[in-house]
Amino acid sequence: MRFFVFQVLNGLTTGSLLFYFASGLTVVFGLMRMLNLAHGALFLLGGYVGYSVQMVTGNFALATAAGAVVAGATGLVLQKTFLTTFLRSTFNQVLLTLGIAFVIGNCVQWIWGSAPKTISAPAVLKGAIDIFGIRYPLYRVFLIGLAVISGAGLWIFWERSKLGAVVRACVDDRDMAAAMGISVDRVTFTVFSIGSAVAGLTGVLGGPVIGVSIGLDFDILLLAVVVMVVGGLGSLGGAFLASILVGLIDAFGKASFPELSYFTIFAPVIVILLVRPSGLFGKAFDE
Amino acid sequence: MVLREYWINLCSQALLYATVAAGLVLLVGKTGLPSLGHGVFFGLGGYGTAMAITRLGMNPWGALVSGVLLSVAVAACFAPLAARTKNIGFLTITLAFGQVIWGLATRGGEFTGGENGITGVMRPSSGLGFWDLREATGFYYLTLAFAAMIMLALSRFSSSPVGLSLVALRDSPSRMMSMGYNVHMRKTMVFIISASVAAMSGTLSAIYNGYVGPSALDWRLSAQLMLAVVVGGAHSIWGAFLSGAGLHVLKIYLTGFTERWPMVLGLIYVIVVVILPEGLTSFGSQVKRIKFVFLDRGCL
Repeated sequence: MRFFVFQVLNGLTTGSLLFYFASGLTVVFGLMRMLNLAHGALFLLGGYVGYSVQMVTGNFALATAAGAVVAGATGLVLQKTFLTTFLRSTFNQVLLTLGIAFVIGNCVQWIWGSAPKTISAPAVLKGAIDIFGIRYPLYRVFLIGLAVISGAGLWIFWERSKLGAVVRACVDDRDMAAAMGISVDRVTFTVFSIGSAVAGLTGVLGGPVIGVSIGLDFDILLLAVVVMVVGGLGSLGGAFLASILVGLIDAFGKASFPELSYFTIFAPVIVILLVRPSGLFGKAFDE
Repeated sequence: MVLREYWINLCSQALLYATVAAGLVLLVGKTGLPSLGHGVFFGLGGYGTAMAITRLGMNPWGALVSGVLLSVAVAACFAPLAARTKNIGFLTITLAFGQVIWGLATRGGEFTGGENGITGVMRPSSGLGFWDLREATGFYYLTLAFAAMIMLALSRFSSSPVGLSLVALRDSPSRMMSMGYNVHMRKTMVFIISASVAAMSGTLSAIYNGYVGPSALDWRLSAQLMLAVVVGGAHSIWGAFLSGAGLHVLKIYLTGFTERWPMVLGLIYVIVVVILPEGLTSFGSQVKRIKFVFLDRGCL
């Protein structure tokens, strides 16, 4: 029982981080039909910027904001520079975003060195609390709570607000949305920037749990691709459920059969792509 | 003398990567299926050979064959599934499959050598006194013969009716289907052919290095191969051959030269895609296009 509760909490923590990260990736995919392999690099950049800001100021909130702003600004510049190329063929998108990821990742390594860094949790959230008889770090519980709250907030925005409807319209049918007078480019631009900022924010938020280190960018990126496929390409609600699912599979897989930990994550993706290409929670989606 | 050996060894390796890239042209360039998991078949060939030699004590020539057979068998199981998807779907399914294999190899414990891979893979002897495969030049001739044979086969295949039909599969699958061609079977076949070229190169690469490790299964290797195809002009097996070799030499050169090599490599990705989306073969027409832009603005 203790093992079970502990792994569930671990899975939810990973799932929360994954959800922040993957939400940007999947919505950008929906809008641009582009798999942004540089999304992980923005996560890494945000994390390191947050680390430095915390070293200097000692303030976690400030670190989080700085990580988000730097990653968001980088995303904005990338989008402005490469937009026309982004919308070309799948090959070009993949190679271009991967190239950008290499460049950013290596710049980060250049500036901060190869040694892993840690970000410490804010003083208020240090310590642990009792949940079903086990002591669990308060900060992780905070991450889970934040994911639930921001997930609910996003859901209300996505399903109930007019702006949310505009973004959904652009995801569902770009051309029709444009014909209705929506500036699809502006929506894409805004969403891409926000998504990048959230990736950077996740880098800092994840710092106290998984640390900040070179290589983390591609680790989380691959998990987020799984979330995207399982949740349904471009679906935000799907991303939420899929993040939790992937987080739980990851936690239990790593704890129970570490030899198969990658198998348990990636094999379902193959099955889902074949049986239900629209994802477990997504609706049909033509390319 | 040492320097000469270094260059000969580099050429052997470059020839192997070049051949994989040329084989990938069929799948990525002609049929238009973007694979981020093709390196897996390269790696699996190597792992099969290495395990046959070190774990089963097989003789090296037999191990080479069994490495290829293992990789091709895996490809033959996976190809019919992957061929059902296209574009981003194909990209993600090949990526996921690659990660499954990579995960099994790195977490496989003793049997696969885990993160450390497998060392002590013996080079075979040719059985001919004048041809010593344990020596740089001798092995180079082996790779040269292999590359020549594969390139001949690939160029014959791509100008054959089946080879020509691949472009049609990419451009208009529905039309192909209505003309009575079995689109799914052709895609599956191309996938397997392309994977077996990678498998053969992978086995040779393993006995060349005497080692095989998880880096041979890394998805970034697949991306590098895809870049080689794009740089080579997507349709041209010789273009991919040259750029595959070139990219490998450049990478080795940069690794020895600067710690910043991933950045340079990344910049190459970006520059190729932005400036030469049709590859190096389009260089002439791109220059013309840029000239026209300036002419329009009255700059020239």
